[in-house]
Amino acid sequence: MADSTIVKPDLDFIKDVKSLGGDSLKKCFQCATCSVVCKLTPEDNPFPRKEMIWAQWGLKDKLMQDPDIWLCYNCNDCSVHCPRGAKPGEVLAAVRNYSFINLAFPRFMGKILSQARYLPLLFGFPILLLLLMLRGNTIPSGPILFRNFIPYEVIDIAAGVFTLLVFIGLFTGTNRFWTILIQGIDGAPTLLSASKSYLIPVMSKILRHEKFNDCVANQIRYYAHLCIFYGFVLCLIATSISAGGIWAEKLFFKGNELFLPPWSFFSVVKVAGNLGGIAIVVGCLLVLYNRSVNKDKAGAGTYLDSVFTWTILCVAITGFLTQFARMAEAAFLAYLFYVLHLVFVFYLLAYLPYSKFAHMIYRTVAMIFAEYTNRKK
Amino acid sequence: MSDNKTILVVGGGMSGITAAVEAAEIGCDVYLVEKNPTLGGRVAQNNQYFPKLCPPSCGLEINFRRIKDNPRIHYFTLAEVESISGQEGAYEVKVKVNPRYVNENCTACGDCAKACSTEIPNEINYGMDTIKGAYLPFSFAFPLRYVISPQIIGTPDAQKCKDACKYNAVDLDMKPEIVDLKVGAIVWATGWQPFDAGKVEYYGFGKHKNVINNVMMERMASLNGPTKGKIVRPSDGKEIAGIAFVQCAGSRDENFLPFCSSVCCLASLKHSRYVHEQYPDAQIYIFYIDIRALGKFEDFYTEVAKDQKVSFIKGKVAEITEDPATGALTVTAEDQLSGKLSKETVDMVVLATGMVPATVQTRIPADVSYEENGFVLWDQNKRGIYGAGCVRKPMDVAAAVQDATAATLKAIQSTVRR
Amino acid sequence: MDKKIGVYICKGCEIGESINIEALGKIAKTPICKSHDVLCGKEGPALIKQDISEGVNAVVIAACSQRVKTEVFQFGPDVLLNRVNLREQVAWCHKPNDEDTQMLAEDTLRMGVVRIQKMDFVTPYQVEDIVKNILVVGGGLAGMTAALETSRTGYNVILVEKENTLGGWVKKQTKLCPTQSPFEAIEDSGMIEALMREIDQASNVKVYTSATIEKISGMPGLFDVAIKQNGNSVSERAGSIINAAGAVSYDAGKLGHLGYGTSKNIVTREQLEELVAGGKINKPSDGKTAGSVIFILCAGSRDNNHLPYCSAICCMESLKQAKYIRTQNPEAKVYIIYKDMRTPGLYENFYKAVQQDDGIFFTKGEVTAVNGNDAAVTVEVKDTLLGENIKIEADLVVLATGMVPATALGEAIKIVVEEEKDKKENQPPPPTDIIIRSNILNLDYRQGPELPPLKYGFPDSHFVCFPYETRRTGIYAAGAVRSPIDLASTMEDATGAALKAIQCVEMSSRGEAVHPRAGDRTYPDFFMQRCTQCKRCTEECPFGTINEDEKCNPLPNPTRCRRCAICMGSCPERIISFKDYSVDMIGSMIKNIEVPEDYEEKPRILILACENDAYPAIDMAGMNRLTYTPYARIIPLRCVGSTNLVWIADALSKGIDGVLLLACKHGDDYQCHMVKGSELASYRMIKVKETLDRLKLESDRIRFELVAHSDFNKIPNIIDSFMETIDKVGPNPYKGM
Repeated sequence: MADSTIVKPDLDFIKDVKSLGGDSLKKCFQCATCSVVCKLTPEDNPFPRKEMIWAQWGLKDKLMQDPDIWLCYNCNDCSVHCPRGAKPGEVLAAVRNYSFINLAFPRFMGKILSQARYLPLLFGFPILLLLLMLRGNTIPSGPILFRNFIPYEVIDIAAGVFTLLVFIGLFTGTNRFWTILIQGIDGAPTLLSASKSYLIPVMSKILRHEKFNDCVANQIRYYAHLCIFYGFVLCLIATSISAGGIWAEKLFFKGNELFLPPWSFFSVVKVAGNLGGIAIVVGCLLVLYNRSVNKDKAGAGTYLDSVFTWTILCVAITGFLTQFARMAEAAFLAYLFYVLHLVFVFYLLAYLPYSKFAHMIYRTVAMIFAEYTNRKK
Repeated sequence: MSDNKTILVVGGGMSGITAAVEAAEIGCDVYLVEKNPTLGGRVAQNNQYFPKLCPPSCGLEINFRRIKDNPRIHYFTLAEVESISGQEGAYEVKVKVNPRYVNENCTACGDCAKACSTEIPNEINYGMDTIKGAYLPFSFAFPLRYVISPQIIGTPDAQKCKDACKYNAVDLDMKPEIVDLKVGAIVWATGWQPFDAGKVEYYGFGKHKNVINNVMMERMASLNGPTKGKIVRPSDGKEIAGIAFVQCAGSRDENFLPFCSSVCCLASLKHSRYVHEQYPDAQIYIFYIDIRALGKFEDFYTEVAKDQKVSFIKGKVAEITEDPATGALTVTAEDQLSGKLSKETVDMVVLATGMVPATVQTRIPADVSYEENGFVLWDQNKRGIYGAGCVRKPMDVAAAVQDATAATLKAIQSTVRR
Repeated sequence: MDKKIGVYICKGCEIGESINIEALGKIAKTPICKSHDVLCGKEGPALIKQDISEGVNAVVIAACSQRVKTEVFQFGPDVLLNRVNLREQVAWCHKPNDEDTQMLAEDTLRMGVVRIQKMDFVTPYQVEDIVKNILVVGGGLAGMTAALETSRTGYNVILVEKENTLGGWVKKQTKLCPTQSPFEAIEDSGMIEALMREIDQASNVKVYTSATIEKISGMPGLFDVAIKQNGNSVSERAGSIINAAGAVSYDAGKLGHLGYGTSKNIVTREQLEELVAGGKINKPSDGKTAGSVIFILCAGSRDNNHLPYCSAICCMESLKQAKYIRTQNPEAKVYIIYKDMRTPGLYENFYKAVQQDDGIFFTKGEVTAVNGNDAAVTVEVKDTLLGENIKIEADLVVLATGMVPATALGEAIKIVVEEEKDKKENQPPPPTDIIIRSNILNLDYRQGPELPPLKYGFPDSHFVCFPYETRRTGIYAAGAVRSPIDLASTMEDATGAALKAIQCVEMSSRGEAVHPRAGDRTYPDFFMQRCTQCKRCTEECPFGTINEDEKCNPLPNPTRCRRCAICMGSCPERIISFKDYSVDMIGSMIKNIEVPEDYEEKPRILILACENDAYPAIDMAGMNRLTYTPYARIIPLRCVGSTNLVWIADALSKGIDGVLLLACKHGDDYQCHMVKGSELASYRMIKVKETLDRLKLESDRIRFELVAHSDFNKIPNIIDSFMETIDKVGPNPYKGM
């Protein structure tokens, strides 16, 4: 008979996907309501029905190789209408989470990030690091200047080291990912050349949040993600300008406090930072509210999603608290919140390749792949 | 201590009628209570049964004859059970008999209907057409007696009906009556209601005129239905060139009816035969999750499957859109065997909707066990009242007859004191 | 008894406006003939009862159809009653005040009076020494349930089981599919044990195990049952019988295309159940634990080369067995390959529950190859839901085979053998039954030792509305022998069969017929002096009522009889009659139709209409005021199968131009309530056509049409088109002779 594929279900994979948020995956009875209801599904190769049965059969390789799981925006239209409560939206999110682990380099990082019991370790590490950096310093007296508490150089060294590690992790992960995606395609380009060709249309789609808007059940998510995304961008701009200022002072304008924090409330840094922070808080609250309201039908979201949402929220909140404490001249609180803020920022950025945050890179790669395969047709 | 061997049967559909005649023929006295003006229930609203494609009125004719010939059966129409008290072997039941406004003098001549000018929505045809305010439900109604709808009582039209009657059969002053019955056991056979497909928003039932459900299709195909048996599009009466059947519409779905209603697959197969009888070239699509034609019903499926113009597509329809200009409908499902979305444009869509037990709307006024969807359970510890037919679980007609026969024996056992 | 006939004509419902009632009354020629404006009102019956108290004991009501107002015209068993239809079949469907309508009304009344003149008072058949025990053959779930429910209703039961213990198939199951709400969990066999205990304790249930039925003779209320138990013969008497002989698994030896036989590790559901009972599910080939199992559903079912039908329970049973495997071995992988997952109704909950198991994998698919040896088995499946053809390797393959009823196993015998002379003349073969000698009931019936099987050997009734009405009165089928069926439904089915069995003995004890002529107290009378032993009645009775002695004399068994009168129709010597229905009666009615000599404006056709479907359809045509030719004279018959050919002769010799028989559908999807009546009549008409040809009468003069109950709109066309045919054929040359 023509071409039969030998199937060997991987029971561990099923267990893993279930624990990563896809615990309802066995309920699916293959009616394909999800594939019809999904606004993002392509007509000639619809998802997520087939992903559901692959997940049920523990076909790990098929799923890891499937670019369609990244076409899903987890809007949960499918979960809301699923006749069996199988929550395909959650299952796909869980499979994506599994992907992070699967692609993670080093592998153990992927594993630790996906389980709640390692949270103490994950937070403990940056706290320890910061305590080391503090090296027994007490709270400085005088005006609240964070650089007096922890010198920028120390932070920069740490940032440098971890940025390098993050890049290694991301680089390895994305290359693995691309290799899996192009398996079986003759004459496929490298990730680099594909990015050259397709990155621009992909970025355009991302910036416009085009796909989010297509989903119906969860319009709130469009707004929420928009807020968080652009909030983040704003914060990134603010931080970059701030860092730029610090380095400029160090290198070119020694002693000129204009280039140093604390910035005036109406400075670009502050405006961008505060607006960004507000956007992030609003976005995260929308996300949390939406999840709790829809949790019966759509699911409350996976562990990785929750941690990510809360982490970003805490980054923003600790940021605001630090600012307010400083403005209120409550020294102890200001320094405390500053430390906490750094801890959350560390969690967010140092663990980027292994947490939900990695979706930023992996999704982009998947979208590049989708553009490539579409053009190929 | 009571040796009351009388049995009360509540519900005059197929199950109730069967329970009544089977009990009476053994030798029991039977009261049969039916809330509509005629016996026959939902089977009388069917055009034909599967798998033989035979008319329900045929079996009903024999059953009505058995009722006519058996003096032990006392039936009440337009009647409902108000209260039940007592216990197994000795129940006291209050039955409210609503006024028909037509008495036993009625000869079914039809003069009142001719005189009446008001039209009311015709519930027998699920609202697809209207009927006069004075009407005979159908030509084989039992009892064969006209009804005057409460909707025209008090209007001048009602008086016109009274004046037109040569036999003094119209009594506009009829009042509801309470009848007290003493019985030994009760068979509860109140049947089912069609699931309201309007709840499933992506089907557009109630919005798109050409999306109907299976019971409406059955009426359309019936000679005494709203279109005199011709299956046409409701929006403009156009003949059918393409039609889609959506199986499990609101069934096997935790958002609506989580259970399967057992008969809808076979009903759609039957409907496809109706359509091809009238339009041999029509293209028929049946979208399904599993085709449930169990046991010997498989033959019926095999026969329909031979029909080249019937396509079976494994994939549930989850979207129906309408072209407002033409009224044509496009249904979308994933054709799982080809792995592509299947979009078909058709003249009409029939939603194969399921059964909701009548006890969801009207509970039994006594201590009875129900399962979570409202179906009545046979509980060892609560003897005396027995569910029969679709109020107990979804089933086809032959199974409902068997079920009623079984419930009748249980009821008789409740009346036997040894 | 002397009859004093009273004729009462109603003038209501347009009858009075349509017909000249006075002139009509003169036709009656009875001692009393009265008319009333509203005969069904309060005055009508009062008037009639007054006359009855003054000696009238035979009443003709010339008014509406016999199907309506029955509660009004009730005069007790001591008064003969005949209803003449002047409303639905005269006033409502023909031109008022027209000569032809008047002639129709007059003929109708004439026939009605003749009919009552030929009717006689009924004394019901008394069964001497009637026995009300119920015999249940088969001690599986159906048999045990039937026995217990009968016992609980207060009747004695004789339960015969061929194995040495009760329980049948269900006892061999380690656990059971769900029978109790919420239908999610596998149940233990406590229910079966409870049944068996209760039967043991029931004082009115006599159980014979290791026993089979050697012979059953007699009739409902009077069955003599010879039971063979361990070589000894025991006699019992029973009033009615329930066949609960169950089903067996389809022979997997025939499933070579699914690999059965090529490896010890390809087993059937039954074999898997045995492995489970043994404790551990091990590979039969080497005893090692089965770590992976593939279930192939619909193995040899829904397959024209094997069992074309679905066996209803295999999907559920496979789910149950999948759970066994996973419970025993949490590391096991179980694959279920299905065509459709058939868990209808509330059993959907069981499917949902089993789906939750991580190690069970479902897909729809067509199995294309099963290759096995004793190490492993691979199954190839196409058209799957996984998007590609797949190959699965496993330790064990379970074929979910279907069931075959016990009544399908045995030699097939034809009851009526085609006669050589008919074969020579290329005649169509007579309708006959094929009985399978399955050695279950061993009935001493001329028509064969078992219940006639329908499709695939199941002795079902194929009536949607009357599933218990088998072809043998007093003998009911229940459980898997009747149809593939699940456990809970088996118990309901058996309970229902118990009621029918009890009902039959009760009605027989009152001398009443059962369905469809429930309550009928007439029964066929045989004037044996004129019998020519032609065997028509013994062969044609659809219910096997009539046995034969060695000389081929018919031996009727009245309680087996459904009073259809098909035997009456079949008898060429016309020796069979009922007190209120006879060849002479209908013949006389036909002979009393006035046939004008002048054909040109007054042809005459006779319509013999089945009173079950055709007659009501004609009534409903009238109710809808549809019109058709007024030259038709309609006579309702109990069954068109009761048409005796002499009536055709009577009609033709009277000068009637054509005879139209309106019968119910026959064939595979029969609607005929007597099962064979319509078919037999149709066959007889073929024979009649030969006679007509010989008499140089056109065979077009006789037509046989099938009419369903709902066909009222087709009635005018059917009747008028026959009239047209007759017009073309021309007047009956025997007119006026």
